[in-house]
Amino acid sequence: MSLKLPNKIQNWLSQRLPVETAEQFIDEQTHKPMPEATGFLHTFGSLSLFLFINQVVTGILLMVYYRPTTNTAFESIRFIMTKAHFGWFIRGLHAWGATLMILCVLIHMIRTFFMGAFKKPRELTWVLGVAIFGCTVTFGFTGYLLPWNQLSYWATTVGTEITGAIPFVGPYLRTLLRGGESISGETLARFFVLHVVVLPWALTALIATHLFLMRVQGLATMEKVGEEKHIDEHDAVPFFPHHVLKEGVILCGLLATLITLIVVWPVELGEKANPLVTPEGIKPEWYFLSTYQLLKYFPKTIGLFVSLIPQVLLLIWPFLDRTPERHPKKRPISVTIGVVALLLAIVFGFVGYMSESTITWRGQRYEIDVRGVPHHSETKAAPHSN
Amino acid sequence: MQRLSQRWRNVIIAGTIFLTGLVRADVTNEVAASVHAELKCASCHAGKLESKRAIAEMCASCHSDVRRMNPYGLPTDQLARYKTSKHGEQLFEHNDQNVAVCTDCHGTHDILKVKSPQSRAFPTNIPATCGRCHSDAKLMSQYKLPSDVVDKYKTSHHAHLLLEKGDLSAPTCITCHGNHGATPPGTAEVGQVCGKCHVRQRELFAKSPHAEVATAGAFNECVSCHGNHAIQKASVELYAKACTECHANDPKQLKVRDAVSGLIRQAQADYRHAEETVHAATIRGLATDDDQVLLQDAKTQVTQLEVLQHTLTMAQLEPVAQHSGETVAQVLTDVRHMERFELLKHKALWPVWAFLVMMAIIFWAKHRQLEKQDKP
Repeated sequence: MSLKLPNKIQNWLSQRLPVETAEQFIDEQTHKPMPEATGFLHTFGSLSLFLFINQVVTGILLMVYYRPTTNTAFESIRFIMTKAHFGWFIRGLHAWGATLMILCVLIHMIRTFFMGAFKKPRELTWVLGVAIFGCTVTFGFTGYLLPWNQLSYWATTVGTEITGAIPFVGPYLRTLLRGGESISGETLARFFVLHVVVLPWALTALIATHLFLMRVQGLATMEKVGEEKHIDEHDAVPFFPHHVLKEGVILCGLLATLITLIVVWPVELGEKANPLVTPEGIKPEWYFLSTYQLLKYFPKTIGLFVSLIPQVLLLIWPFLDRTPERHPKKRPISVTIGVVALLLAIVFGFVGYMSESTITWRGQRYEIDVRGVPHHSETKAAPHSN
Repeated sequence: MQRLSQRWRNVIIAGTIFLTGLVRADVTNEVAASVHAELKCASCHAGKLESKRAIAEMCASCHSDVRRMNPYGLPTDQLARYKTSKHGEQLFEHNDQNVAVCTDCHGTHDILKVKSPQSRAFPTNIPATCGRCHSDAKLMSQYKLPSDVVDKYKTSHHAHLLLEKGDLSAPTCITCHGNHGATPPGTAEVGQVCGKCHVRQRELFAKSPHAEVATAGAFNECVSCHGNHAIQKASVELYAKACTECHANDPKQLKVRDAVSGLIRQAQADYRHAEETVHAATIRGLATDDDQVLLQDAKTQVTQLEVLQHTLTMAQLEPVAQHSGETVAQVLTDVRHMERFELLKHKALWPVWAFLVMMAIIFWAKHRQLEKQDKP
């Protein structure tokens, strides 16, 4: 199956452009053979790409009405939610799409890690992937402020405050991020520019390079490094239509999840940001919760460095784990480290979510302090550690 | 000879004042920072200031002079008004040296403009200034006056507005009792004093059954229910206490009380419920702009009810309460309508899911078909 233009158009274009070369390139890419073992777990990269496209399209639509000033940001979001046709749906696609995109990128990374797909010759593809993940969460951080509501204002205040802990340059970096001493219209303008100009282009370039490397090197198989077999055309699975159909099945599930989330748990408008009123229980988005909780157990500067360790390890992992084995059963140390890191992230995230809240368990009321330690409500909660 | 001695006497006085000025540098500094910085010491100290009467007359020598006060836009009737006050009467008629005179409230060398926040006569400092004498139990006992009025005032809603919220329009001692012409309001004048700010309340009170009793002197207009110095923010709960003071054994009047207070309580509760509902809907991102306008209307009606209650007449209150109830009902209906629409979205999920499941099955079936075809 190949994509063909109508004859007249093809002839007209052929006389002016290298249409045949382009057709040949597209044909090669769509029919590129993939290893037989390519399964559903291999679809999360494509899903991340689909969600990135969703973010770009819905982001452009939101920008039609969004106004990035302190006097108009919240009001324009309210207009989008209440007056613009399907504004609530577009905003839902953008906000929940961001969450799902981070989730898909994470699953994609976890799959790559445990299948050893980051190993030679794909180390750079992994490094680019980590950069893509970093870019994606930065998207989330900058986008969170834009609705200019109480949660976004105070979560950004806490988030940018952490940068102040970096030795020597911290305070300058914090001022650079905020555009002043506190979160203000300057911060909103900076975050908006980062969110809609700098990051989209940076992420586009990263994704393009990541895809290019992936197409050039092909998908990794489970064989040892250097012992990868040439993919036989007869045993291989063509990218199109075989793998694309598999991606279609997962995409339908993703769309169903996305639309359900938008309808059943609509994104709130919240209350307009008020620098004079600090709401209780300010917490970051779920993907920052584990880092947020980790920071509470250490003094500011040390905590910052401790929280950077997993990220640095992630980035340089292909250069640390240089054994030729790819199969998880043959890499017990790497897999154990990966599982422990994942469990720690989940536990810290959960503790961060539960901290500074009150729960009732078996008829008893417990107040959970900032460190995540529950105290019977009659006993005095531990003081704030920071 | 006599002229010479007069000249020498002036030189000696001026020299003494000059030397005193050198020694009393603090006084010099106070004067320099005061509103009278341009005056010379002799302007006030040329004559004898042995009595409070002399002080009042010395101040008035300038402050009653229209020519001198005109450039500053200051009134010139302070002494005349002071003489009409209790303070002035005591001083000028009984030569009572305990009473407050100009310097007791405005200071001596450190007199500042009344608009200056450091001035003793600035609104937030007035309670303390009056309290210097009126909180002195020994002094007040001589005049059979209570010495707890300032302390009581500090617990009042007026003081809360003035001292905690910094609302300079909130009443201080002088707002009710006057300043230069300070006179305590008598029973008959209390309503007039309160009515200077609470104009509408007083008009409506005049239409109430209590107005006639107040004219007869058996009811102390505002004070009977609200109190005076320790006045608290009025709420509908006041009915429970205030009415029983006089009508504890009067079931007919208590029935009126219950009807009026019940009507207001209901309107306030309905409004609060609607406000909370709209607030929650707004946070969720529902289109509540029109309902917020309606809520403002309902709030105006509830506020109107709170004022109208001074008539204690159900015929006046019922139409407003009904209007308020209808507005609130309209708001709640709108929000319910929007919530129903949100639930409709939930129902719309079924066809979306059905379509996506069908597409997933088609993709999977096609995939399986291709796999079968590829097998040799």
